[in-house]
Amino acid sequence: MASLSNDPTKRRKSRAASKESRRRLAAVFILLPPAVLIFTVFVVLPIFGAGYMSLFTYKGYGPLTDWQGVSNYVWLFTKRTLNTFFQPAVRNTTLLLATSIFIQLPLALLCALLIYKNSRLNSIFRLIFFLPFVLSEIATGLIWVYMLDGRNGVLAPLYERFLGGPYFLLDDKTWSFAAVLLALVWKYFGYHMIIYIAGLQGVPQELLESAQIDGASNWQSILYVKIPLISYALKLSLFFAILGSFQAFDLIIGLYGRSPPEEGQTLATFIYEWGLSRRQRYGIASAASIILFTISIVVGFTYQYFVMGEQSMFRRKQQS
Amino acid sequence: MSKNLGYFFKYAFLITLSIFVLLPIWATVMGGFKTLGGLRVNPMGLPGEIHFEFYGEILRSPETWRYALNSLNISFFTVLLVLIFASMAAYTFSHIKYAGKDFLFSYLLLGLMFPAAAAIVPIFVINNSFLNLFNTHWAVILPQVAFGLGGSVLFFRGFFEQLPYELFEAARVDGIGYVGFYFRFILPLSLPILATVGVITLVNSWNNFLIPLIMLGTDPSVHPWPLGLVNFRGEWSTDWNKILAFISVNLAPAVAFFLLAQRYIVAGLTGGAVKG
Repeated sequence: MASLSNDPTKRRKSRAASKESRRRLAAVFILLPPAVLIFTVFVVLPIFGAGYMSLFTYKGYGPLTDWQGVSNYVWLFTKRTLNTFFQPAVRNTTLLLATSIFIQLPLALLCALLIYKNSRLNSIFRLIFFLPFVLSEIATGLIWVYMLDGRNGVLAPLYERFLGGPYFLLDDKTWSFAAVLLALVWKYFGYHMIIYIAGLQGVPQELLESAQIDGASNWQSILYVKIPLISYALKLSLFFAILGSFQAFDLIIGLYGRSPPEEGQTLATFIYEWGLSRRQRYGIASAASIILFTISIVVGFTYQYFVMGEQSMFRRKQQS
Repeated sequence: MSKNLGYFFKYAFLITLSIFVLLPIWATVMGGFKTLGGLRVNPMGLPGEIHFEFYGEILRSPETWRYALNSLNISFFTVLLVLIFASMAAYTFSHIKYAGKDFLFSYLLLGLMFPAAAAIVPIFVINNSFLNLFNTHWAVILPQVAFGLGGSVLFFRGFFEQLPYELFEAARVDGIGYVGFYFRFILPLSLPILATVGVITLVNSWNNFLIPLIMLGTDPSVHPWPLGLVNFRGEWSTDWNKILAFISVNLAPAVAFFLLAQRYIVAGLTGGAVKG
């Protein structure tokens, strides 16, 4: 790198090199610590803290004294908790994932393929589809609460006509989570579309032309040229969709309010409810935090190494 | 003929989807101009008679402006600190050779994967018991900065590596130090990436709900806007016209910002997606 190879004598070179490396180190010590420190204190230490706290019964103040061993974890896996909490949380996370994979991402890809070329009309459609991304999940949730409201909502006349009376989707124990899925697709399909469009615009025009000359149909050029060439964008957006579905929180609160019903819980809302909202049982919430953390990290790393492979953000080569 | 049919289906699909996206926003904005009765008879259309009083009430209420100012304060310092800390760290990764660099880079990248929800309980305890920050904006800003660093460092490093290396060598020969080079060359040359990362950080911070919910108590005078929305909904549970007006007032700056900074938002989201 920044070697001083044009120095005339070897001795001067080595002395200068050691001075140089001291300077380098000094610069690193000035520039790097703020980021590392704040990241350690507010991201990494809390995870260790959660691990430690999960072994105690803790009310949120005073020293940690009430050692419980793994009983908080055991409690999470007792039959009653499993039924009332894990089952809905796992079911809801699965639903979020499945909706992302089978509805949201295909819809985003379809839109991207339809409107990735630059034209005035296409950029208007892009703007419209992408617009909800900038709204907060809370505002999104509230807007959909209103849309779906059985008495005052936009869909109320439809309920009247087809169901013969007001219907409250968010109070429906079986179907209420459909509202979260609907709001999720509404808010985020445009975001994934934008990622795909950027990928598609990077596909070299010559490749598409030569595919056409070779007699490829539109479908063939989509399947064999466009999609393989944007595989990185597809994998990246799936990565964020997966991690996002494990952490769903704001949208749930937006739709259900501050205390979601059992059938609307996710891991994140469970942590909030048991740790900080009503029950103040920090040990239990910490144990659930550790479970959420472990799932995210295991899935995240597995995905980075086995799906992204050489394109993993941890492996991508430096250019210089 | 079949080509025309193709066009027909394409635009029928795109227009239907546009209605699906825009209708909720349209109904929300219009709803703020209607009375409760008007809302019930006519949820979708233009208001029969326009009522400005609900919007007026909300725009005159000091509460609304306090939420906006709190959001602005939190977002401003979050963006500022992310830009400074992330670009400084990224510069050491891109331009300076030292042991442990790759490890530290990967370490910061972990932030992209760590779920904030898993850290909230201990962050709450740390802020509360050790740093005495509970109920202050710093209790929100610092964790937001920490969770924003990973992605930002990745972006900055990518950009800094593209800068001509000869410039760095020439500056070194001229006796400009490492830290000096960061301030005098890297920062001024990085305005586009600073804008991009800044805009994405701003959107994330402005819309964040989880961290302020945990770190701020029930006193609404320190709450940012997303908390304000939930408070307002709790206060006026069934007065949907007021709630809709309040949501619309909240949407306005977000949409305006979206239209102005669209280019940077897109760049920030797709910067990593095209390479590979």
